[in-house]
Amino acid sequence: MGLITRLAARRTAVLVAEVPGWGYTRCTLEQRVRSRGWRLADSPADADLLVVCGEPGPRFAAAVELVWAQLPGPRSRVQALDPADVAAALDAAAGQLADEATQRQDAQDRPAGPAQGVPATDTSVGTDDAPGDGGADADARPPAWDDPHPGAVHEGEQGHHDTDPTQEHGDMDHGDMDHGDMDHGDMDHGDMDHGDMDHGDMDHGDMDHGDMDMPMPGGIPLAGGGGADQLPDPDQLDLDVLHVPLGPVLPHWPAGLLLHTTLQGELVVAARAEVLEAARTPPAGGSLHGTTAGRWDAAATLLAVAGWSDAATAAVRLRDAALTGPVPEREAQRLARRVRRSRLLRWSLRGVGVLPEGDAADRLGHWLSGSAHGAPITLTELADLVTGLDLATVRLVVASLDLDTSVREPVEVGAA
Amino acid sequence: MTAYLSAALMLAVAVGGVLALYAVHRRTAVAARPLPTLPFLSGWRPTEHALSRFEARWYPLTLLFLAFDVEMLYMYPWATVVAQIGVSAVVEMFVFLGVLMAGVLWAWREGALEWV
Amino acid sequence: MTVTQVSAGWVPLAAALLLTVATAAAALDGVLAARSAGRPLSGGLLTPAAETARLFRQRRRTTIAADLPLQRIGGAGLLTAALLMVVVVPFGRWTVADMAVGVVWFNALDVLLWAALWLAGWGPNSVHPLVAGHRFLAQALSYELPLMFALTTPAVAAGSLRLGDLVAAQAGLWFMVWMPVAFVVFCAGVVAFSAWGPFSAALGSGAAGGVLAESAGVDRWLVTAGRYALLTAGSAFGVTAFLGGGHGPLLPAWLWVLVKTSLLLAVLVALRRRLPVVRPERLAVPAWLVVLPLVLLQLLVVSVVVVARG
Repeated sequence: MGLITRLAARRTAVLVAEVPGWGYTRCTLEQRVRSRGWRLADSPADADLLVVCGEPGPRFAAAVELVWAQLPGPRSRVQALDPADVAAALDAAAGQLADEATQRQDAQDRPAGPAQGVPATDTSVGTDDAPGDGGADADARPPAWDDPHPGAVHEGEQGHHDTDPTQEHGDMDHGDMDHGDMDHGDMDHGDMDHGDMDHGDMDHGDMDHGDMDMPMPGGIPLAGGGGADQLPDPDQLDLDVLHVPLGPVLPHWPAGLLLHTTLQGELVVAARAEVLEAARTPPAGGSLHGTTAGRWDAAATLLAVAGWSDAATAAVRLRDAALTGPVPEREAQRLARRVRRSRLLRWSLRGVGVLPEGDAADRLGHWLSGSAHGAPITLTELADLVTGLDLATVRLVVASLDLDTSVREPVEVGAA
Repeated sequence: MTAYLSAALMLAVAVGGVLALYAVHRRTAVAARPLPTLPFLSGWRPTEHALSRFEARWYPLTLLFLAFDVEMLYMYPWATVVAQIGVSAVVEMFVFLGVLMAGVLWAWREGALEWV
Repeated sequence: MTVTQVSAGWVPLAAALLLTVATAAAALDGVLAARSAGRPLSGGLLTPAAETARLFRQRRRTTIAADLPLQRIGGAGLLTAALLMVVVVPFGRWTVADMAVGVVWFNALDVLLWAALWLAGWGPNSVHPLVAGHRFLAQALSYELPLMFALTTPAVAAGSLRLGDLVAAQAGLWFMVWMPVAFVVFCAGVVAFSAWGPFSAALGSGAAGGVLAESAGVDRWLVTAGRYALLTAGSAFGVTAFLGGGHGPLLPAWLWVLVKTSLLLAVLVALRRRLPVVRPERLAVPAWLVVLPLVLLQLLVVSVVVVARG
């Protein structure tokens, strides 16, 4: 067993949760992770170690808590509040991960059911009202959260009360709809009478899951139509929409950004953005934005999302050099040339996230050449920008904006 | 026929190997029982199950694909006899393929190749 | 060179050989990654061992209301398909399954990968894998037809679907020389059905790992290993169909197959370093309007040559 543990330690995968304002800490962490031969994880399932950079506010902390419960184990969690803390934190984590007895005990002690967490729309977390009690308080839900125009409150939104997410599976009386049935075939919703409904005049009230006596496997309702948000289908198919929060714990994603999206297929039909704040004011100079290192960091993020890990690594190395001293000019030029020459990349980024001053490819060009540019974008504009795009393009657009979430709105786009 | 016996044996090796790996994993993992978990949604509880009537916006393209795919049924036997039959085999097949390519151009004009 | 079928008893050895070469491919990828990160190359060499140790120590996960049987079938499907692909590939003078329809066999298996990757994405009942699984299908719609016609081209030249006949037909001249378009398209197809490099949109880190977003432990290992095995099996088939198989001076035929497969595999593995991901929704237009006509033109040229030769 010793050999397995020792070998496994060489490839420790690290999931990073960055709180707005702790960008320097996150970059230092990534540098240390790389110099140990470790790597960054894509999701909690991929991760051995969760590192929280900064002090998350209550909602952010709730998200971190659920992600922590989703790490398969062996697992370890550490917090880094300052670039100077990082090395010690990683040493501590490496020790915990290597401790076979503790890890087995941890695996034994974990609950038999899944950790429940709170919905992304639950803003009551951390308030006196409902201190992180699992989001049972549906009244705290803001009106029409999936609508980009907060003015237009959908009728029937209150109907969601019936789908109390903390409801235990056992409490429900759907005798013929237990877990086992769910695993096969029953997802076709044939018994839900969607066919009789006309999307045109359907409002949220009609779609109320509770009224339809819908099965709730695991206490989670089945997907339904999106009412007013739903795009009309040319073939009159009854399609479902999914409510997908993006962020805050998501690799290659702006710190603390929470983008509520409504997905029809892979298309975002409605979006709303917000920033989850830190528990306290971040340390002065914690943000990378507007610095040389920040430029390279932004370029690295966009290259990683565009699926070019090798160029992203090269950009990250230049960023790390910029953190401690001058950027090696030759390497910088070589990377800029390599990226500019890639027709495939230009083809992928062309027309993505078009703002008055250019698209994603233009902004990447600016970061690589170090030329000044910048335009403010509000969270509302961000939501508008991503509405109508597919999920993968949304990721590219957001990465290409290099949002500085540590300042309040309007968020600055790009490095000046 | 013995060729397919070998293939069947390989399938058995693959399935047996996968089962053996699962058995080994039960012994080497920190816990044999899998961890029950909600799906990963950036740290949030899902509002609904992901398995749904998902809109595959590229489905017109699947029909175009099927037209060609059925054509492949003729393509393979044809490949073995081109040399024997000669010019007529080539002419007939490529006229047929030309018709299909005209279909592709039509589908392109109708926007079937772009879906987002 | 005649290819003879050996007894089915050699099947486990063929499987072991595939996995060995696939491990070498994973080690090469580790070395290239270490070089790009500025880390000692020896550490990169150990990547497959370290990742295997990590995943075998890691607990598996099951998401709520997951479609477990389908998820497992999908996850194991990649490695299984790769193993089944190599049964028809001659290793020098020997093959374990001398099928008269070897080319069709390979084609049928690569189509099964559509299901495998989609099921692996559908199974976990989670948005990121689900969307990624559908993205793989969208990509497959673009790469599969050019790949199929690329597979047909050597069969037309050899007048047979048997891989042994393909090798024999290349005694004078490798097919790659006079059907370069088909060869390049075939290689792209192998990279695409392995969801590798420029065609790895379904497993991108921009999508939280895509199809793999919920997989841990041995489930993740099977998909990861399956991709390397697919690249390896695809390379071995490509060597047989386009690069003359066991033909070559001095060395024994089986060694030539091994050497050529390793070289082609190394190129495909290294491709990941050089190219960003191609977005499936932008791939369809060039794939259907440029690549497909080109490969059909290649097929026409080869057919005309075959007919003219008599």
